[in-house]
Amino acid sequence: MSETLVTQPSAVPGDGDGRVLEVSDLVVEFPAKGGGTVHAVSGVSFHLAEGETLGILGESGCGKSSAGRAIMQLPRPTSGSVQLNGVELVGHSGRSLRSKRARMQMIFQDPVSSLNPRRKVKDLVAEGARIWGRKVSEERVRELLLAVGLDPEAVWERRPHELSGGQCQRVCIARALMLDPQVLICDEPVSSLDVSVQAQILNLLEDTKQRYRLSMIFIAHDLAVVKNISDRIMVMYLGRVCEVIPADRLAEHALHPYTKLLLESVPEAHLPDAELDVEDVGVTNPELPSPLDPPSGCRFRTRCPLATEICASEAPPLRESVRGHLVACHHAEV
Amino acid sequence: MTSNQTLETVPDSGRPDRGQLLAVEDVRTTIHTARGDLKAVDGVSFTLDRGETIGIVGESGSGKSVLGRTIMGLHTTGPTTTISGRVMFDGRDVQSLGVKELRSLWGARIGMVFQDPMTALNPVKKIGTHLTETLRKHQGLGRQPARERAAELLDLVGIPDPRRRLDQYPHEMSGGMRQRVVIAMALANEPALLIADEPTTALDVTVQRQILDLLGTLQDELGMAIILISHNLGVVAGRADRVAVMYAGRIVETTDARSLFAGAHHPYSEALLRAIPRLQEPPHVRLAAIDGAPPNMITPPIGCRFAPRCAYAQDDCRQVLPELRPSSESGPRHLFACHHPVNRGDA
Repeated sequence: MSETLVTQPSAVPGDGDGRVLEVSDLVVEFPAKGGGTVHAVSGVSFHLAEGETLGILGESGCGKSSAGRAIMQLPRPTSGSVQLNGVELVGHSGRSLRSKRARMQMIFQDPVSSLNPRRKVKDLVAEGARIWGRKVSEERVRELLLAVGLDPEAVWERRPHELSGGQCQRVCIARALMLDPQVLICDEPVSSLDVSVQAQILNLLEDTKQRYRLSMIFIAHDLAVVKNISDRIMVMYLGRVCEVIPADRLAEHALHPYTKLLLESVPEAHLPDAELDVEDVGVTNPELPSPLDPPSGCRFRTRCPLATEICASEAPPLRESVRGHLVACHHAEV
Repeated sequence: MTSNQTLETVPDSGRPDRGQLLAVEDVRTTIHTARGDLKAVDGVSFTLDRGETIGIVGESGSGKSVLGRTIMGLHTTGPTTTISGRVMFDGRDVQSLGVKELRSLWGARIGMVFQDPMTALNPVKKIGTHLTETLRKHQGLGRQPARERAAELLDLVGIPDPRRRLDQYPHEMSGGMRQRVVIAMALANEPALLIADEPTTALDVTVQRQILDLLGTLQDELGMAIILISHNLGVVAGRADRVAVMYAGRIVETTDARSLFAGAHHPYSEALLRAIPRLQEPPHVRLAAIDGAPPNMITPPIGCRFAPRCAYAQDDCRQVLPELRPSSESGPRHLFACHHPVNRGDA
């Protein structure tokens, strides 16, 4: 792929000095029913550069949502550090935490259940700011509704059940924008929407990001969707990072066997006009190990065709291939 | 093993490989709501051979799910619904069947996998009960053989530790696992027709692929026909012999996946193809979203239902409802309903 296709100004996305968010050694563990511990996120470090969109890609149970929520301290991570503009969030609670993370907002997968069914759109949008004791003008609500592509007159008095899923997601985005965020964390924001609506919301997020100068974390399972919106993509498997890859390299230069498995599984690879040349990685074991007792060493080794002894004894560190492209695999050729 | 014998001695084991299994003839499903009559399905016709897969693609509200339920006989004419047209399944008119006959059809001859696995499962019944119920009713298995077979079925759909799972309740399983249970239930009696309504929408890509591969394998083994309903063109196109694109209660285009991707004639099909983000495109490519929303099906537009959102619409589109007609280019199996089709060399 030629470099000219990348619309981002910097050749290596996310490599700027302005880091909005710095996450180090994040660990999220939950007590499991009947004893044991769910290892949801096990030592994940990454950063988010100013104006960047970082995609977090993985399947259910890979820890992508847990990581996203841990950044918001919902709930607080077991250990690790989350710094927003250099201010540590971990260890704070109550009012102190709320004021420190106020410029970080989150939208979720199910827009309908994210909204209080008894409130009207005009109040839903203003809700967050009112909780902070700010006066919210009707003008401001109208402006935000227009910004997310809703007609204020048409939706003003409506309640969530009177809107479509796409319209509810737009309301959620307007709510998040009301608090003037710097970082927007989107957890599967389009996975419950129709294709044409999904395209509308993806375009809207892209526009919103430019217009309000946001940095974004975009968590999703759909490879093409993540690739479309991200500058860099972090691929997770069972609580660990497999690969951090510039988005324009995803389709052709993925190095980790798990990323390759994902690419090979996409329905798009089976389309009649697919120009994707995906290699068959030869993963035959479909079984995802339990996060209660993750495999030693590399967590993908139980399904990996390349696995050898070292994979069981040592967890592979992230190694850099080209600038900005990191892979955690003993056998990947960097 | 008793259970294995039953597997092989399912009724009509001498199935013909081909031949028509299903004929849907001008089906209209009108739902009577407080706001008026909602024309959920509004004149759909197609046929399906034994062992064939048709993919029905459409967005929410296109009528694809109601069509699936109408074919199955879950919607019948009554106080809330009026159905016209005919659904001939294996030589029988589904709409003429009584509840008792329908019950012997459902779960035995026609299996259905619904969109939401949680609502397809009874929250107060164990997983095992869901499976043994259908096995005991339709195959007359005893308690223990049914349980054995249930465990086999769970194993078949890739659920680890099936025996333990039999004693769990639906809420103890993940969404993906629940959907596998629903698929196991649908396949329990090796139906002649499987109606899969968004079967993999809640599942991960690698699991989705496993489930679709699994459906394909089972289809080859059992000669089962599949109606695969999905909003995801990618899911449908890779697996179906034919694809039907639905919009506002009607099929607007139907052909094999290859010619649909190579040259969709209906502007809606074309728009749908363009709205999908593609892996082979660079990041930040602007997607071609379809503006507007599908029409209100209580008072649908008089002419073409897509006309209000269509970039190519002209006066006749707003007056006359286009009927399906064959493509002059890609052959008689490629039908489209548009006055001003796109991607045609001769147009």
